[in-house]
Amino acid sequence: MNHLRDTAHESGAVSLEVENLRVAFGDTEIIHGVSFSLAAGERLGIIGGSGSGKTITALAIAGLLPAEARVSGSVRMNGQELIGLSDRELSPIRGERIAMVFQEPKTALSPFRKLGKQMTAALHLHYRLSRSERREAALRLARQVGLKDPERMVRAYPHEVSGGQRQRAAIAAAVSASPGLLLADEPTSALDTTVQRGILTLFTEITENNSCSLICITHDIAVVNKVADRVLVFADGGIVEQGTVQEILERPQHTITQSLIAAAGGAS
Amino acid sequence: MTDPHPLVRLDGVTKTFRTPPRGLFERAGSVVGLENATLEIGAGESVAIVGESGSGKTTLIRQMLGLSTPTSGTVHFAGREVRPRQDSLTWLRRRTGLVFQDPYSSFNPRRTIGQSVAESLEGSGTRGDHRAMVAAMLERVGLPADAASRYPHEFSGGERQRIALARALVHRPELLVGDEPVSALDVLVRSRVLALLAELRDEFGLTLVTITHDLGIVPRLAERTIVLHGGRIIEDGPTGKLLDSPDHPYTRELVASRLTLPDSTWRGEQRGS
Repeated sequence: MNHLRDTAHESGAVSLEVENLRVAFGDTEIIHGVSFSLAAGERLGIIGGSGSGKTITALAIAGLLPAEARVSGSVRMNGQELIGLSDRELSPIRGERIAMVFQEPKTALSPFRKLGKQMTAALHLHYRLSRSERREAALRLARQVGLKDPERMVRAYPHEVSGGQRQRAAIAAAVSASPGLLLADEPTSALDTTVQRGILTLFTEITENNSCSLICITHDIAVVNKVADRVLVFADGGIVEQGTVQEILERPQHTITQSLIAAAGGAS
Repeated sequence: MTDPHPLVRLDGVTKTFRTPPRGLFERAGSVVGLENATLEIGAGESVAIVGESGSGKTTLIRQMLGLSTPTSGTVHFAGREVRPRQDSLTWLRRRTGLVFQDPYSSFNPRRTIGQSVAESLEGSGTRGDHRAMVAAMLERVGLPADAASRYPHEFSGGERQRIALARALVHRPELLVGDEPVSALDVLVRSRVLALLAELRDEFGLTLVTITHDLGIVPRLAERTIVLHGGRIIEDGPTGKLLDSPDHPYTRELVASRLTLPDSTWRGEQRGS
């Protein structure tokens, strides 16, 4: 299956430059000028409470906000400006270079299609695989994301497997076309702690093996500590603090950061 | 008044569930949800029940509250046998309260908050001025004075868990059971709801049983922890001991899977928040 990789028009981790990003719905601005950068291959954590704007920012980067959202500012991926592109121009970029993993694997996957089919949907769209190629790709992906008993898993429907297995399948679908940026929104909040650790280790492996950048959004700073090198702290639609994970953990400046650390069991 | 009986007693409680036959000519199977559970919970204790999805946590509390009939074994509440088949259990409803995980689906969207909270008073046959009791409890959990006349969609997830607490406590039960009461909330809101829960426990002298899969919040909730795995109680003891030196290999794995922050992490200006 490696020859498939070579045909991708572009590969490798991508970099991002976000400058003065603003998002408004009607007259209400909810993201107030966010600026940050992500180096190729870097793992960035975004933390904040509910409603702090972290998910909206990620959706704006991926171009997945509804049409009524007004997005301004600049998002450059490997130097190419994404804001202002039409859906048609954006679609190859979004599909091939940016992949998303959501919180709830049950709703991210279709209940009517076997996991193997869903894991290879993006690959099939791009490369028109034969039945046997597709099966082979599904098995390879299942092994890559650590699904035990891959033969059974690729033939199973989402309701037949556990939440952790569903999330692994959703991650397999996301990484199948070798994205340059993986955007994960609360990827482990719906999972048991024992399962959570395995999924986070998987993110680390994928970003290393596929030379892919990672943005992980969460309200749990312990998750950020496990997967990210650097962290942005969001509150009220803006970045209130940023730094390396170590800097933020040891010397949090903003009260929001301090309460996020306290809530994760830092100060008790 | 001292009661010689523990508040909750389970003796050899087993619960099995039937599973539908997989094929036309196959027989129905069965799954053990809870196997031979024996435990006592004394009045005033705070107990956490931990374990992964499917370990039997919810099955255990359903037996405790008489919401389901055990396949075998007996359940007693304050010395009286809980028999859901033979008994309407109004006496048990009066003495117990329950908070669910999901703040979004646990309220009827077409009833006002006041009506939803008053259901506990009706269900437990509590006499008195229901409207005043509801208003007082809503105020106690930190909601605005007009909350009773509003509808669930007007409140955030954290506010709805406060309303759920008001509904579980308005009839002044002795036992409060929470089924993952804070796991759907973001960490900042979670922290405030946990603090409220601890306050209410002390104020009303509650016995508290909380289900969680998150070991991180256990020290804030309970002095005693029961670990369930595959429907069996595999460990039961003081929370501190269980976190520091777990006996069972599964508990060790559970404790090790906790995400922790490095020792150099900021610890705050003052302890306790």
